Amino acid sequence: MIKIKPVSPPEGKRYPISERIYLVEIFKGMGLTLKHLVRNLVTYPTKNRTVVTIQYPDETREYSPRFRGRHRLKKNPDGSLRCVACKLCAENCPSHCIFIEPAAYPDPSMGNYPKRYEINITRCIFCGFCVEACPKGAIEMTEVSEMAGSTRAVFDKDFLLADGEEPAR
Amino acid sequence: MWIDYLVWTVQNLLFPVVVPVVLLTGVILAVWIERRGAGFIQDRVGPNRVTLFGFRNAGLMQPIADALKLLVKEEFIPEKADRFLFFLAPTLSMIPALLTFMVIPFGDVLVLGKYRIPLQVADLNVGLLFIFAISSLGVYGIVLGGWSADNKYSILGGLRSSAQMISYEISMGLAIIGILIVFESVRLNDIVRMQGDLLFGFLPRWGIVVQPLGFLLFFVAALAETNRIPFDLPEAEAEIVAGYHLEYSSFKFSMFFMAEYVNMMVASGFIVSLFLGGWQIPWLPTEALVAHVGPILTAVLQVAAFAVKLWFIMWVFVWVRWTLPRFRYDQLMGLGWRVMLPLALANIFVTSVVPFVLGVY
Repeated sequence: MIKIKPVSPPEGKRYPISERIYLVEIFKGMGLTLKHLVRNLVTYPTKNRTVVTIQYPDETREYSPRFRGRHRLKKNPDGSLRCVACKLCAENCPSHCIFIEPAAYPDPSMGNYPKRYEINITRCIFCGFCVEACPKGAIEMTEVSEMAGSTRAVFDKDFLLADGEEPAR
Repeated sequence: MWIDYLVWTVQNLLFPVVVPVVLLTGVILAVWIERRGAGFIQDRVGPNRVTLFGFRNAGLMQPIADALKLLVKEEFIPEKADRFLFFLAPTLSMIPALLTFMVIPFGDVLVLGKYRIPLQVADLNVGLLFIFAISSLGVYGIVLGGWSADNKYSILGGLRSSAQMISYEISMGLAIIGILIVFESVRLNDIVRMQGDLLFGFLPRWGIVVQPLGFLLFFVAALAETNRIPFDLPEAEAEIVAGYHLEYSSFKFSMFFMAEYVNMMVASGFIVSLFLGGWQIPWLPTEALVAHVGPILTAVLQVAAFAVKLWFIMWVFVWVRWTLPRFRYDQLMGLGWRVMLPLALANIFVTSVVPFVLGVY
C-alpha cells in the first residue's frame, strides 16, 4: 500500500522544518532511487528480474492463448482441406479482406474447395469474425504477431496452409 | 642526456595530449553510466544493443555509435543566424572545459632519481584561481550559442544560463574561501597533499571533514554550473525545447554535448581535489607508499584512487539527475541568492572565527 502525503501543509501551518530545508527529503529520494538501482542490478543476472523491459527480439511477451494473430487454414486428418469455400468468412469480414474463388472437386460427393483463398493482411483488423463464422472450423488464428514486410502482403492459400513455422496449438 | 629529453617530452608534450584525450574518452564512459544508470534506476535496462566485432559489451559502444551518427548528419544553420558566433559558440564551451582540467593533479609528484615529474599538466601556483577564471568563460559558449541561433527558445536558454551561472558562481567562490582558510594555499597539489594529514590521529583531513557545509554548497553550485538537473534550466526540454543548443545539429551539437560531460568531469575532479582528498589514498601517505612499493606503482595507485573518486562523484551527478525534478526559475534564483549565499558567508565567518576562539592560531 502506498502512503500518500498531502501536498499542501495543514490549514494555517507551514511545512515542518525537515521538509522546508529540502535536504532530508532529497536524501530520502536518493535512497529510493538507489534502492531501485541496487535491486535491479542484483536481480538482473538472475531469473526473476525486477526490470520490466522485455528485450524484444530475444524475449517476447507472453501472449494469451486467445490472442488473435495471423490466420491459418486447417486440414483434415487425411490431409484434405477443411474449407468448403462457403464464403461465410468473407461475408462476415468487416474489412472485406478475404477473397475466395470456389471450385468443385472432380468427385461430386466431395463438394467444393477454395481454388484461391487470399487474405489481404494489410486490411485485416484481426477481429476473428472469420473464425467464428466458419461452420467447418477450417480457419483459426495463431499467436504469430510478426508480420512486418517490405511489400503489401496478400497471404495466399499455400501460405495460410503452411504448417512449417507455426504448429497448431 | 636523452633521459632529460624524455622527461621533458613527457611533461610538456605527452601530458597535454593524453589528458584531453582521456577526458574525451571519458565522455563515452560518462554517457554509458548515465544511460545505463538511468535505466536501472527507472526499472528498465537501458541501451545494451550496439555491438563491437559481434560482442554486446553491455552497450559501451552506444555513445560511439551516437557520435558517429551525429558526425554524418546534416549540418543545419538557421538562415538568420550570426554565422561567426554560431560557429564559435561550441568551441567556446569546449575549450574552457578542457583547459580547466589541466591544473587538477591526478597524482603526487613522481620522483625518479633527480627528476621530479608533477602528475598534472600545469602545476600552477594559482591553480584554484585559474580554474575559476577559465570556467567562467564557459558561459560565453552557452550565451553566444543561444543568441546567435536567432531562435526565441535558444535565447531564453542562453539568458537563463548567464543569470544562473553568475548567481551560482558567487556561492561557489565563497564556498571555496573556507577551504582556502583551512589549507592556506591556492596551489591544488598543496591542497591535496595537506588532505593526507590525519585529524585526531585517525580521520583523514579531507575537505569534506573540515568543511562539510562548504562541500554541500560547492556540490550544489557545481550542479548549477554544469547545467545538470535539478538546475538544467538553460536546456529545460519541457519548457524551451532544448534551450541554447536547439538549432545546433551534427558535430556542433556533439561538441556542446561533450562539453557538458567534460564539464562534469572537471567539476568532479575539482570536488575530489578540494574535498575528497584528490589522489590521496586514505591512511597511506606518499612517503610510506614509495618506501614499500616504489615510485612508479605509487603513482599508478594514486592515479587509480583519483579516478575512483572522480567517477564516484560522476555517478552522484547521474544519481541526482534521475532523482530530482527541475527547479522553477524563481526557486532557482531564490535558492542561489537567499539560501546559498548567506550560508556560504556564514561558513566563511565560522571557519575564520572558530580557530581564533579555540586558540589554534
